[in-house]
Amino acid sequence: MSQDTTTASKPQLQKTNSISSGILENGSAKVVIEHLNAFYGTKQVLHDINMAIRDKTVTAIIGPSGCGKSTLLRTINRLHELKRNARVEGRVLLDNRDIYAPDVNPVVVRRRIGMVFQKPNPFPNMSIYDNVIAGLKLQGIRDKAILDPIVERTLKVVGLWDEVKDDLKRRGTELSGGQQQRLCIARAIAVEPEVVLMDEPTASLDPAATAIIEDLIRDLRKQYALIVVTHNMQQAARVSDHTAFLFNGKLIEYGPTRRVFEKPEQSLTEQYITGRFG
Amino acid sequence: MIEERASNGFGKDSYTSSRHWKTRLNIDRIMFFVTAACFLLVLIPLFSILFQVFYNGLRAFKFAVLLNEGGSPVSTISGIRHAITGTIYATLIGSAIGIPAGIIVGTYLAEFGNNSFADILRIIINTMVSIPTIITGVVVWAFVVTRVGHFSVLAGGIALGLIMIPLVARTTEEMIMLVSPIYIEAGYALGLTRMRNTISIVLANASKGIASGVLLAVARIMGETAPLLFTAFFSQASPSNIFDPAATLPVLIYNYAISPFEYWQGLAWIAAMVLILLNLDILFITRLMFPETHQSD
Repeated sequence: MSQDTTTASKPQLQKTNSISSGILENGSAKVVIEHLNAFYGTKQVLHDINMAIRDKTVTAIIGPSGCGKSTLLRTINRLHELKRNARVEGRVLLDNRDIYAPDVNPVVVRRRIGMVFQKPNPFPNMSIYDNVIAGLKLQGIRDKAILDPIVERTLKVVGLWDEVKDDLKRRGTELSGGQQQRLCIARAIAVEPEVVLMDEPTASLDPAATAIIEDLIRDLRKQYALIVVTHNMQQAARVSDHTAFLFNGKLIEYGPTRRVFEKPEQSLTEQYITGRFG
Repeated sequence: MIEERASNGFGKDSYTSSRHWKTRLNIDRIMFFVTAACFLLVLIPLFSILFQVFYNGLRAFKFAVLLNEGGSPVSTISGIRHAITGTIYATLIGSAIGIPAGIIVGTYLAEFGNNSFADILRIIINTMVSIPTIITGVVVWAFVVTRVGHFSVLAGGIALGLIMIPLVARTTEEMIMLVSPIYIEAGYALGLTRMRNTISIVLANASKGIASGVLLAVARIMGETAPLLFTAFFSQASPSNIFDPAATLPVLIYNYAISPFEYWQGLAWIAAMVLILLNLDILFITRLMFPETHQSD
């Protein structure tokens, strides 16, 4: 395998292309992951991941527990490195610019890449209103004339406006689990990111709330590049355009969701999606 | 019938009448009485202290005692107002030093504490907690009192502040550790800087626990005697400024209780009562403001 990472991005993209067959037809990459290795101390959890992710699509990352799905997601907004002894090698390009370059401030990266977590986590010390604008307010924007319309717009996007418009002062943690998760999605998109990462966003929700979130993911796809880690293969098949299958920290297969599910190229992928392990 | 019992493991009658079961019920009863007895045993000293203090305190009590400054033991109109003022001064000065310093140190240890400097700091804090408070008093006497040239309530406050720092730092660190990492990660994922995240997410979510820990620390330094002996010393008048020596309730109790004058001994009981009431006040406020001691998710 070529270690020629210093050359310009063009040959890199072609190489990535060959791994991610069918991803970049008729479109350009929003996020490109190149030769990415991730470690906890001396333990390597991701091995030479290469992926190109298109704008305005939903990319699902599937795989058994402990295969590195969440770690891969967290390397894309540089959240991985906050854990003790965590380390990353390789490159992640956002609009062709390496977010791991020495002159890049992770805070700036994270403002461009929103994230939604497995467990709904609205800030318990804040109202619904304050939760939505938390990212903006804590960056110094306090003008109600700017914030009010953002709150209304983002809550409408996540379908929460009609449910909460009369008690925006209530605590975010008083909502139901599904509502809390939608509030967290609102909080993530209120800062107008370009990419939204979701780490098993429906894992702690009931089927009805899951269906609402899945509809929302399909909606958000019109505006953002979404990357969704999921445990649930049916969910990946329902919501995603592309699917990446990860196993033991290696990217086994990556391609259009339909093809991956109907005609997987790798036997491991086939065994996993047909339920023979995992 | 026999088959049915076998399938249940044991039948209904054997379940409640077996000897094994009876033994367990009896052990349960015995343990209940043992724990109840321990509970009462703990209450006896508490209530005997409260009873003694309030019985003797109320017997000597006159309202004028709270309003009058200290004075000669034969005047019978002298009071303990100067010591109440002194305690309030010393506690305020101690809190002004101990609360901010303790919160900053505790926050540093919890949020930025993955380095060898923090490990050393943690050892220092843990050592400070166990230093006898009279030593703290002596140190402040050597560094402050001897340089200023006289005893002062300021020096007393500094000694109390030094005692308070490790108490507040430890609570702060513990309370921050209780803040679930899912909120801290959410803050970082929104693009908050480390400082902003620490203040607005971490400290804001730990604030209840920290505040209740701080109030308990205030109550604790309010009752300290030893560190004030060489620092605030004593006086028969309220301090007019922070550079005056001042009487405090604990030191007044100590001085008057061992004096040969019955009137002063009475004042010591009253001072003890006032000190306990001030302390109970703070504990009560803590309970009232922060009904749950642990962060809820």
